[in-house]
Amino acid sequence: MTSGRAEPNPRQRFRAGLRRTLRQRTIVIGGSILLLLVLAAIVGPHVSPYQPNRLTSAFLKRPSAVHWFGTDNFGRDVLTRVLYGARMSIGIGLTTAVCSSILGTVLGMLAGSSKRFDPIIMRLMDVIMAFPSLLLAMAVLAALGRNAVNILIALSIVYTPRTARIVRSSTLSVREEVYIEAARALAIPWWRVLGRHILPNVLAALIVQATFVFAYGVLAEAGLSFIGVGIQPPAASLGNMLGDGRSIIREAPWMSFFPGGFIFALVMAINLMGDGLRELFDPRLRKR
Amino acid sequence: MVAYIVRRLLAIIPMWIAVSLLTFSIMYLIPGDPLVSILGPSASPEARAKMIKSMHLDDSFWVRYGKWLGSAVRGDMGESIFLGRSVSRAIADRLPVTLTIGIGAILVSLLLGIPPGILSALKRGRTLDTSVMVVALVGLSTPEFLMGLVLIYVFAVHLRWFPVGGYVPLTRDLAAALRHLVMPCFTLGFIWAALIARMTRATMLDVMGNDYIRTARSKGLRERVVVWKHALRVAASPITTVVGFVIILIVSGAFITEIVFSLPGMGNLIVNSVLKRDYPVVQGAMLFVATGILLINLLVDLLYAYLDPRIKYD
Repeated sequence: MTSGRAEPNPRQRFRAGLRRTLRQRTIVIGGSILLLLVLAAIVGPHVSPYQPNRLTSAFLKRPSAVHWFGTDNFGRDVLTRVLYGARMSIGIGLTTAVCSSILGTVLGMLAGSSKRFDPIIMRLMDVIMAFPSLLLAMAVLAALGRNAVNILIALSIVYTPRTARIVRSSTLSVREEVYIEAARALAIPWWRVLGRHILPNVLAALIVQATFVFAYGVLAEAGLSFIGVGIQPPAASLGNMLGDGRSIIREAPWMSFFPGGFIFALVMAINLMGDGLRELFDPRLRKR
Repeated sequence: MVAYIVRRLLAIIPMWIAVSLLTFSIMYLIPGDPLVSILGPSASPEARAKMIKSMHLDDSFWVRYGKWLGSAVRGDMGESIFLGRSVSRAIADRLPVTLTIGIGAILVSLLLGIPPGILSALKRGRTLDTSVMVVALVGLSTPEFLMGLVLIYVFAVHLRWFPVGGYVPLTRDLAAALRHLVMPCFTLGFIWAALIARMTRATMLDVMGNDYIRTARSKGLRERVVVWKHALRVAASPITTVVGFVIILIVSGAFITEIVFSLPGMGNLIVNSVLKRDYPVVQGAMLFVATGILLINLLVDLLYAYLDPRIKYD
């Protein structure tokens, strides 16, 4: 089929999309901060001259040229631990976003396209959402045991329903479109209709949601580790570092404020990106 | 309206049963022997036998679930393994603390969320709007524990205006109780005020763009009347939904805030029970909190229907 005007080739389309994206200031600012923090978390531990868990006699040293973020009550370099902890937080947040997006997409598309599965899946999602996310995650960790993999499982369970709801409602609205009817009339298998026609249409909403789940995941992991239910010492996590610093905040505020500042910057960068992406994908929001 | 309320109440029952089933099933996720997880590997046979009897571990899953649910409906959620008292008693002891902080935090979030949100929408694009939205972004990106620690460091350690933590019941010494409550309530309230401010702004912008607002203005009505009488009345229902959502987030955030400020509330009880694997308390508290959330959701739905006459009850 030919149209009146020339279709842009993929490269032109990509460039136009990139230009539109770069015009969103929030995405550029958020993305740059995020990139910087992720790079620091990846490269930092290799460059740092200190071991994250090695105990030394340099207890509670203030920030200086030798220890930029000071040392903790076991003489460990706070900057090195922040960078290792950031790896953990970013890793868990990102993996939670990916896992809950995949699960949520599968469940949401299944619910949106099958009247038989819809009530079962959505009621299950409602039940999960009836619990405060942190409480449910804590209960799952109490049962499964406290380690990084179980935190990931707990957070993925907790954040899947929101994604499933969004994907389901997008699927429901796309399902009524004429081209889906046409695809069905051509006897195209349902899984192909889902993958080729419905998935691209729900992708925008899914990306925005995944960005926010990334932020929730980082915050939830930090919160769980802060109260002692998440990552267990001596492994560094931004949350458990803050938890350790809490009792000696009077003597060593740097033990709390540097990991805290990192979490804040990370979550703010992700939120900025999420806001920008939402505006990019939803033209109604652009004028606000 | 009455029929609508009854129907919504009845709809909660199957949901509550499903919630209780999930709560109870979590015990079954424990890998291996649950008695070893609870009592440790070196527990005496007598202790094991006592635990099997008290937790009905020799019954089938459905029998145990039925017994647990039956007792829970009557307010009996079993005995705590470590506290030496019933789960219901433990919850009843801790609940007032959490409720006090929660109500305080809700007040703070409404006061700091709704007026700036409205102002921000009315002054769209101006410095005030930008400032409110920047503060809101900061609020949304600050975890409760960080906000709490910063407040402790500034206002308790340096300025000594407020105590570092602890709790005094309102009935014992009102002034001391309020001094202990300021920082926890602000910690929780400020963060969710950010969400309320953003949603209020977006809703108000949406409403203010409607034709009937233009009509109201063209009639020569004063801006105050247009905002208060025409716009806010319509914007109230979506804002109510967000407030309902925020109340649930505050319940969730209260756990962490209680730990930061060493408050003996539900959050502290649940975290300690999780750490000690005191499963009856974890299950009881989960069911209690989830029931509360179902009721809050119901209340928000009813309020929404009341505020927005377009919602049909049938």
